[in-house]
Amino acid sequence: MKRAKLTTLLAAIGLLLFGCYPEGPEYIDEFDLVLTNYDPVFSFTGKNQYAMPDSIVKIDGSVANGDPPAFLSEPVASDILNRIETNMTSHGYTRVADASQADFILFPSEVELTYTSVYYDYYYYWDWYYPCCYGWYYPYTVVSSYTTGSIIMNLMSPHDVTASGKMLVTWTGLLNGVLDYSGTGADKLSRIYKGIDQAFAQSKTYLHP
Amino acid sequence: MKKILIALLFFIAAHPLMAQDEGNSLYSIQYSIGFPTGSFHDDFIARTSFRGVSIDFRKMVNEDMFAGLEFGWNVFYSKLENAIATEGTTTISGTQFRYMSVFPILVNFGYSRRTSENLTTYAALGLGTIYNRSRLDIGIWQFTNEAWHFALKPEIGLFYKTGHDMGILLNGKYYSAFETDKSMEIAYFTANLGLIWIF
Repeated sequence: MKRAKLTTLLAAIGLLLFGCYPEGPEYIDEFDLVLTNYDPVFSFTGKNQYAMPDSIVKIDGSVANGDPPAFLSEPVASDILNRIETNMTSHGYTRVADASQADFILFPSEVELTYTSVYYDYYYYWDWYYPCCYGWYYPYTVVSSYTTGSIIMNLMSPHDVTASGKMLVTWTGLLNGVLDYSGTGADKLSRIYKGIDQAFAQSKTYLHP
Repeated sequence: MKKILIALLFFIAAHPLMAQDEGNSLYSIQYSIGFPTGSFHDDFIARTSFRGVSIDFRKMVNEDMFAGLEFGWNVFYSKLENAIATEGTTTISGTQFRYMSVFPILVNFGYSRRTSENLTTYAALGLGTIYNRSRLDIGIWQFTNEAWHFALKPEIGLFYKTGHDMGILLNGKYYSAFETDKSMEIAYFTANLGLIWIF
């Protein structure tokens, strides 16, 4: 009798604990992240002109290897640049062609990183001829990988130079997410647009002339 | 912490001997619903948890008083869309997934009173530790933390005997896990419904 009670108790515990952990991300855009940072010492007041290149450079190590820089393909690059310009305009900034006259230079760039994990798995079978025994198949290798992409917007002040002789980065907006190669161009860009808009929205208290 | 664990293990080891007196020991398993309160509710997870279990062992030391052990597990979870977090000059926004698993291990002391032939009410105070493991997922990044807390737990409840040696248990507990240098204070209320066996 005692043993039956104990068995019931343990079975109940097992049932209650089974599947007890809650769910995680279901959609790819739930991995999207927007990060912004700024220089708290720098004053944005009274500076309203900026210059921006017509292309988006890909940070892929080509320059470090002595090769010419790679750029994001068109028309994706132009669509992204137009979205950045729209947000800069709404924050009170004017784009100028002459970088030497500008208060800021906005450098957009793009980085892709692929993460790969390899693990071993196996599965077992049960044969009703031999209910006492389980058998094991040979383990097999599972390779899993995903690629993340980041759009980085650096707002530099060409008139301020850091101690190391580089242009001062006054503001950075970074969009990071898992790249989805299955969607169409518009679908892909909608996530990037949303991220660009969010980067400017969460910087509105200080990012204005 | 080690001393508490050693004391608990000693209690567990001694318990089968104590349980030899028929009818003086009670074992229960309870389904537990958790409600975060205080800063745990305000700063981390506000959502009610429907994932929880509690196991309770009791021994009557006389007609009214009992002492026992309790183990529990509650999983709290929350999804925050477009959550914005600012630290200094850095702001991060995105969908956050927050998880908190709490494992109370407590020694209980209580007073029970039989109000009718089948109905017994009781009040108890638990003392021990709560282990917590929390996780915050944002983007592809994951931040985890774990800590042991000193914990207190008042409890009130009742059980109704449905047969010679078993019954239904209903209770409410308030767990308070004190702040540590690694973790915030964690306080939550649970409502529990379970089965109780009398040995």
